[in-house]
Amino acid sequence: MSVPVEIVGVAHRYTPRGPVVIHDLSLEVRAGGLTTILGPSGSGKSTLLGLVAGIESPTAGDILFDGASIVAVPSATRGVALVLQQPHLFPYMSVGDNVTFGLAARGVRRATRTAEAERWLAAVGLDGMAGRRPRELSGGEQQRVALIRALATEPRVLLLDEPLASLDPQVRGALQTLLRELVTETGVTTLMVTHDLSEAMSMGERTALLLTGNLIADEVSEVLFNRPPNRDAAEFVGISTFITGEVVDGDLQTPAGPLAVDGLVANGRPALVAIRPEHVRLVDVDGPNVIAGHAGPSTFRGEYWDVQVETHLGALRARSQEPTHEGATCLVVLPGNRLFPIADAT
Amino acid sequence: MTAPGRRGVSALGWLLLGGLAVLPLIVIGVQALATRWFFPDLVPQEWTFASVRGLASGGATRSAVFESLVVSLTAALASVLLAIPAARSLALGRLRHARLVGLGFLLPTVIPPVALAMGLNVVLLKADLAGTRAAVIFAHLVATLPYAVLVLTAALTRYDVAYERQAAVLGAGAGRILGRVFLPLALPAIMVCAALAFTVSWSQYLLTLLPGGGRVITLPVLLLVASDGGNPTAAAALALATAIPPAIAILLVVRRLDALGAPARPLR
Repeated sequence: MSVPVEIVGVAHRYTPRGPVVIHDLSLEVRAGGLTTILGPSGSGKSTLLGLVAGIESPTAGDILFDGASIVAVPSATRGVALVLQQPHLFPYMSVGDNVTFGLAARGVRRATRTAEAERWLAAVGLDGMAGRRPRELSGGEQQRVALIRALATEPRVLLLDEPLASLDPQVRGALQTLLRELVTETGVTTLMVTHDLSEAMSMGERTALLLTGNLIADEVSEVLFNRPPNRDAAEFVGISTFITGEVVDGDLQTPAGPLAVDGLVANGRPALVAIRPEHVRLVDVDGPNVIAGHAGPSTFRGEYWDVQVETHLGALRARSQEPTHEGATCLVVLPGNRLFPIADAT
Repeated sequence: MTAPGRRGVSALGWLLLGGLAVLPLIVIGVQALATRWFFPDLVPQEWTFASVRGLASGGATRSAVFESLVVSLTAALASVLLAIPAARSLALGRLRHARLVGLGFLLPTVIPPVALAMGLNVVLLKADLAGTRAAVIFAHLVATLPYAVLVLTAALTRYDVAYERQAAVLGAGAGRILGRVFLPLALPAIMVCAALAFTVSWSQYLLTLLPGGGRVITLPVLLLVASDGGNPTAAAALALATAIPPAIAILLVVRRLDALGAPARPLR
């Protein structure tokens, strides 16, 4: 049974006089939804997950499952399951007993547990491994067991704390797919912590961005990536081109001339716009939203050349299929449908 | 260091080990079977199994072995039971001023054994316990507990509490976490702790003689009496017998640790 999760004005500090690690944070996750919590190390992601899991208690605010507060409910009866970065399989138990540890804690009979272990192991391609010891499995296999150990308890909320971070990229990709399938199949409400932008984008239908314990953005993942709501979020998702100007007749007036920007409406007022780096390109022909400049150093990035261009807007980074001679005059296009207004402050 | 250098250091290590541990045992073994062995003879002039036979058939020895086993096993068990909560609190940072409390636990080890035994004896006399087995066990506990806490605390600093959090979130209560998570994970450390406590208790002489008031006779007490008795052969045989149980305890622990693949797995 999946439930909606509401985090309402939650704050947390580990000791009474310690620093506040979560600041007045509110977040909603729909029943059966998968929200990724993205942020750098020390941003409070794992702490937030610990609060939902019941490992820590919030110093302020409330956490609700299906509209009912669970802050006072012990971890064991909250109906949550947690998967950590390290699988933490019990090394002295068989793989099967690990899978059904939660069921044993609930008093489920041995025969049922054995059948459940086989069923879950088969679901993740580990048929016949119930009798093995965890140390006999690879890292990816161990993490699969950790995942089904959590799901076997049929949790109301699944909490994933960087569960794929310690795996190599190939295994990680396969497990991302498996994880998505399992979450969709079981319909469990899921909160997944990650510091990896690409993983957050590929896994979560929504992404909540945390910086220094503050919720900076909570958006549909694609929106957060392409049109982040504020400058902090934009910088975290890799945007470095920000242009300020004044809005006149729907265009942004800049030192390099007017720029057409989709969705810019506040006439006569200063505005800040941004654009993703992959949309800033070198072109051969002048036109709308094309700015002239002088090429700086070019860096080969594999699929493209990253060219620094000095313009009246300052230094811009543009993409090109070829290197550009340093000092050469060049043209940079900032497509109007890719430029978007953005809030300067969070 | 060069390869010949490493080999030299290794050889020196083995020589020291042989000189300090094996050679005295060999000498005591030979002495236990010798009737006439005078300096500077390398081997005895006459051999005998009388002392070994006497040891095996002697009622006093059997009684002392039984007494030693009861006292040391009880002291070791009590040490482990008390050391587990103490070490958990000290190692997992759940205690204010943990370092100070840890030092407090070590205090009995820095007090000279004679002073410790006399002090304890006064306490036990006032409690009307002196001369009983319980008094001896209590006195041994004072000696063994610091080591047990020290060893277990050091081991538990590497204990990963995330296993317990994982179990709690999966629905395990406190009892299941203790029995199915903590104890199995900490088992190697607990076994080492128990073996050490047993060994420390087994070799206590003053902390047996004074609190026991001469009524509780363990093997070390018997050994000391035999050493003063002018019969080096009997004393040597008794010394060998005294050395066997701790050696067995250590060997059992080592074998069990090998079987567990410990302690790397359960501890972080």
